[in-house]
Amino acid sequence: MEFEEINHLLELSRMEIEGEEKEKLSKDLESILKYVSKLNEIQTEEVEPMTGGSFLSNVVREDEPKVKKTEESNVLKEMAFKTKDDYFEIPPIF
Amino acid sequence: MISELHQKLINKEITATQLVSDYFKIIDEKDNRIQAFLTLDKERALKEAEQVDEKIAKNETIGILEGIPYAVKDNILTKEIKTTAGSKILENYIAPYDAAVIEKLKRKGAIILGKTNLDEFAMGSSTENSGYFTTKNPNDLERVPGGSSGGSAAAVKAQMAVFALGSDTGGSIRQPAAFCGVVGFKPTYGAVSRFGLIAMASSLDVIGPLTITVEDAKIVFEAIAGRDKNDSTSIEIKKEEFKKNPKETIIGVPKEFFVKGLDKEIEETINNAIQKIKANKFQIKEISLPLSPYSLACYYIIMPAEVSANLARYDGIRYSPRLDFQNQNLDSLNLRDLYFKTRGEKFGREVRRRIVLGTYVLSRGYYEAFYKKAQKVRRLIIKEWEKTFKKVDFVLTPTTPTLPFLIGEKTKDPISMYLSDIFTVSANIAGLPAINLVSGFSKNDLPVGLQIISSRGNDFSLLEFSEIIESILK
Repeated sequence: MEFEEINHLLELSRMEIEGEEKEKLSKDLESILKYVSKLNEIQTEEVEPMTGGSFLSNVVREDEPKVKKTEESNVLKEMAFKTKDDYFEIPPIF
Repeated sequence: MISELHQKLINKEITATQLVSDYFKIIDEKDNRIQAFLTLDKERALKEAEQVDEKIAKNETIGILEGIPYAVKDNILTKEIKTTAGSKILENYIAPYDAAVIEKLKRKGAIILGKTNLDEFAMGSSTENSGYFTTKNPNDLERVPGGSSGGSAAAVKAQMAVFALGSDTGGSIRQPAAFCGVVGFKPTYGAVSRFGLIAMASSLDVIGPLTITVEDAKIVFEAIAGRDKNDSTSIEIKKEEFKKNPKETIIGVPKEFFVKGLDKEIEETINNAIQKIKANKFQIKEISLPLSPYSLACYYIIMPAEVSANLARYDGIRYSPRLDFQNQNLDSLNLRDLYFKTRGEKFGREVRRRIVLGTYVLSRGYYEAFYKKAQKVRRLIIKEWEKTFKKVDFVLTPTTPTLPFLIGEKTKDPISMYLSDIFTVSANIAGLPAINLVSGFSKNDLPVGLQIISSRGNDFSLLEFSEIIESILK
């Protein structure tokens, strides 16, 4: 697998990986892709692809806003490395 | 085992407090070598036990699981104990709520001893991918306990918990159960709510019990099964009894599971088991599942695709990540650096490998060739199993192709590790209930696992049938 391609995949995956591991990753991916390519031995024309693990139809509900219990939201807030009022503080986007 | 302990509790032969203390004593003695637990919570456990004892003292009736100590795989949320999923990215994470299964067991009075080790985010077959340490196989400390629910399997085997919860995406309950020599049950997809299970591959993940006996697995499954409004894929499983007599019961043995690569001792042990089952008048029939050798390839496209989406939520901001940014002025960073550094540093190798692989099979130009192809093959595999269950009642196979391997033996080559799941993964692809039973031991006293698979929704009948097989193999 080309280096450029690995870099693109890492960019999409939002992960930073160093040089040596990148090489190993690229080799591993190649051998895994070779292994999974054996699916091409199976004729799948006109087969409808699955979309999940079950045959259930969608369960829908009204899209109503819910308010979390204060005890729950407090636990979540405690996990932020910084908060301001009731919000998570994060680094600037740009 | 659960029934016996329950009797002892009601007969006041033992108190719940004593029972919980006894288990912590065994943990103290054994777990520094086995390392099945990531976190223990003795104080809360003893407090809960006292409450059960008060009820018993007042002669109130108690349920079958009341006061029974158990262990929980650390990818199942518990609001009182931290949940790491075996990952550094969740090192300090305390969930704001209990998983549906935990809530159910809590209501039934079962007592959590602690959280067990696993491969990071349940990705692996040996616990060697844990971000913390490798659990040892209680049968031989040089060997892996299997995975990813290796901590749960080892805890049950070493009697450090009466039962344990695990999760199974490609074999993660059954394979460690086989390696440690305990019962491991993977229910029908959707039979148990996944609400509060840290998602790995959502179309495959199932929670199930690891126990000493099939009866125990049945008791725990009954307690955790059922439709849950918080998991829209969850379903109600009918409690159907297994009524057939042996002569009418057809057990299919697929020839594709007895090929090169299957350990000779395992083959022998399974064949002996088949002979014993036959001697008990059950019908054994050789069958063929031509697509089963493709299940693992299908799995290694669908699973990483779902992994790459499910793990996108670990962004360095939520779930209490602690990169060294804490004392820095946030304005000196940007959001992009936070994402890339957190995910690059805190995810382990295998997790990163699967995220990148999943991103690849879902990306433009490869989606059709890999992801869509796999989803088509998945449908064909499901159909093949449906057809099979029109002809046979159960399918019997070895659970693993090898005996428990040595620590470090398979860490270099990911494919050799992936092949550990080759016999278990079909049941996940097709959503079928499947169980591991102990069918015997190798010359070196390593356990050999036998797998029985049934059709979707047939969980109770599979468990009852397995109880019969368990007694035949004793």
